[in-house]
Amino acid sequence: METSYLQILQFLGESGYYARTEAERALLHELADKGYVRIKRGTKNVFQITSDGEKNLSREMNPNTSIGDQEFLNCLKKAYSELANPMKPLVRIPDVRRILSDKRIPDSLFNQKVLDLHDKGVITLQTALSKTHAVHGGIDSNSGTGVFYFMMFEA
Amino acid sequence: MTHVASLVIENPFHNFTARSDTPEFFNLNRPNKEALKQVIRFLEIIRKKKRKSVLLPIIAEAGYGKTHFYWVLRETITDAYVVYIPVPTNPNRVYSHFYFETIKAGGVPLLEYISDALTQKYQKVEHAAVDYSGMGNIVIEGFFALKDPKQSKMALKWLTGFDIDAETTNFKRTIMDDEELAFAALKVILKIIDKPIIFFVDELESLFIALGPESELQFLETLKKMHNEASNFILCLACLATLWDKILDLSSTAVQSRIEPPVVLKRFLKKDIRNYCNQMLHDFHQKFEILPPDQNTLWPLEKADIESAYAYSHGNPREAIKWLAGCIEERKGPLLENLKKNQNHLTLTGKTIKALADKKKDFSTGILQKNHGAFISLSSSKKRLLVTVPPLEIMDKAFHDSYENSLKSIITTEKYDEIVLIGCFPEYEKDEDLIITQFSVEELDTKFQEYLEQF
Repeated sequence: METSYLQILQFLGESGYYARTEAERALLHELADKGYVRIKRGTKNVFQITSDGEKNLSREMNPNTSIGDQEFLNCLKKAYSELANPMKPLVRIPDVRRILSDKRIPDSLFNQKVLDLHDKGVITLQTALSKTHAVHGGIDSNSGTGVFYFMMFEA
Repeated sequence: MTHVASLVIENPFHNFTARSDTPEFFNLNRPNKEALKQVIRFLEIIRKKKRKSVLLPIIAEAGYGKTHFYWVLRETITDAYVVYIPVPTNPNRVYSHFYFETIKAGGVPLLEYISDALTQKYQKVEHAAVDYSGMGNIVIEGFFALKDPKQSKMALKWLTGFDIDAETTNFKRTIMDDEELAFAALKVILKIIDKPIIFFVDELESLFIALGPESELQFLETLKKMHNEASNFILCLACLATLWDKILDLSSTAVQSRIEPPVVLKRFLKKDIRNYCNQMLHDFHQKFEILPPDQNTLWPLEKADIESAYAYSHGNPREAIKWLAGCIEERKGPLLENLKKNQNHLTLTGKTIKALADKKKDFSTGILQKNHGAFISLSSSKKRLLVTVPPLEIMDKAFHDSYENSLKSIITTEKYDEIVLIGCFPEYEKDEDLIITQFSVEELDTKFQEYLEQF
């Protein structure tokens, strides 16, 4: 559903898409929270696609499912080193996704690979304060630990 | 022998939340190693007077052992005092809170130590006034008054807030009424005390969550003042990792620049879960009179439980411990049931053997129930016989191993001419020097009785 709306928004370009129903507005506001769309200046319910949205669309349309484990790890290390500093050793997973968006790795594959690295003890994932604090882009841990929202190297 | 009827099997994993008032004596080195190393390094720096104070954040996710780390510090570090400081509920009363918690930890001996050290160094309060100006002067007077028999009770009330007897109840003032005075007292204590103090400020984020960013900011600014003006301490700021960046962002650059890079507590890997189980199950084995089985020190858990605890918890120590607690609970019921059956079996069989032996007047009998088996010694003037009843077959291998060890130890320390096994115990390796005869329980009244007659 999200991908279809992003496609329409990309097709409509600068003119934007007018959200007519409550359901459409809710969905597009959710996409806006993720940074994929924005409200057109001077309007209330007209949405335009952002560059992040275009990247996400390209990722979804042409997913790169053949990325190897080592290549993925190298990309992750590079993204981590861009985001982390000694005072903030934990980085947000949505930020890592954003940096790696050029690689067109589908979210499900990204989540799986990141969880595998955590379970192997290469990285450490940490949860958000609560599920509501992990607005988007986190990884559901499928257990009692909540939604993983931060990561760091080392375990 | 463990009395099953009254046996309360305490789940060794029942406690998955550390508390400041419940000591924890175990330490898994790996997850805390880096943090401990950092604290020790900063202590060394403070001891060498290269720095006067340090603000060291300890960050970790919920359940990663921040409060447990306080106990690790308390149990490991001998050349510093460790004081637990829960975050104050009122950001306007930080110093009095720090002072009160310090006094709570050190008690009256701490005050007496400071008082002794001051009187020894300065002899008179006037001499000390030069080094402790302003509010410090008032505090010094209080400490000197503690040495004066006429004023000591009042001084103690003023310094601690506690009434010693009726004499002090009308004296309402305490040092903690005034923030500046409490801070001055804290500075005096830190200056005089023989070792640095590690203030372990737990749940740094709770002011942020409960009262909002302004309160947190105010608290951090107060800590900055303490860092600037007091000396001889480390402030360990334990904080939820996921809120650390928010707290750091809202603090002023002046505060940020004073804070050390945070140390992150590590999570559990599979080997940590295994080590933790080994430590926690030690007492459990003792309670069941089980010698740690060589093959499986994790009993009653199995290797698969460690795997599943890791898979479920993703290495979060609290979640892993919760999972293990569930595994133990599951196994407790059948274990207790088997223990009861075994105890009844041992009692009944033991009684029958004793009754048969008593029929022969020339035997002296001794009964011992140990390690889930029964050992009955029958001695005549010529020979000594050991009749032993091993645990029931339904019992876990760990119980059989424990019984076997016990049997081996008995026949090595005591001299028996012959051993009789009642029941089934196929795994026991026969000692070449001993004659081992085996009877089933059903054969007690027949073949065993005949055997005794011959004997």
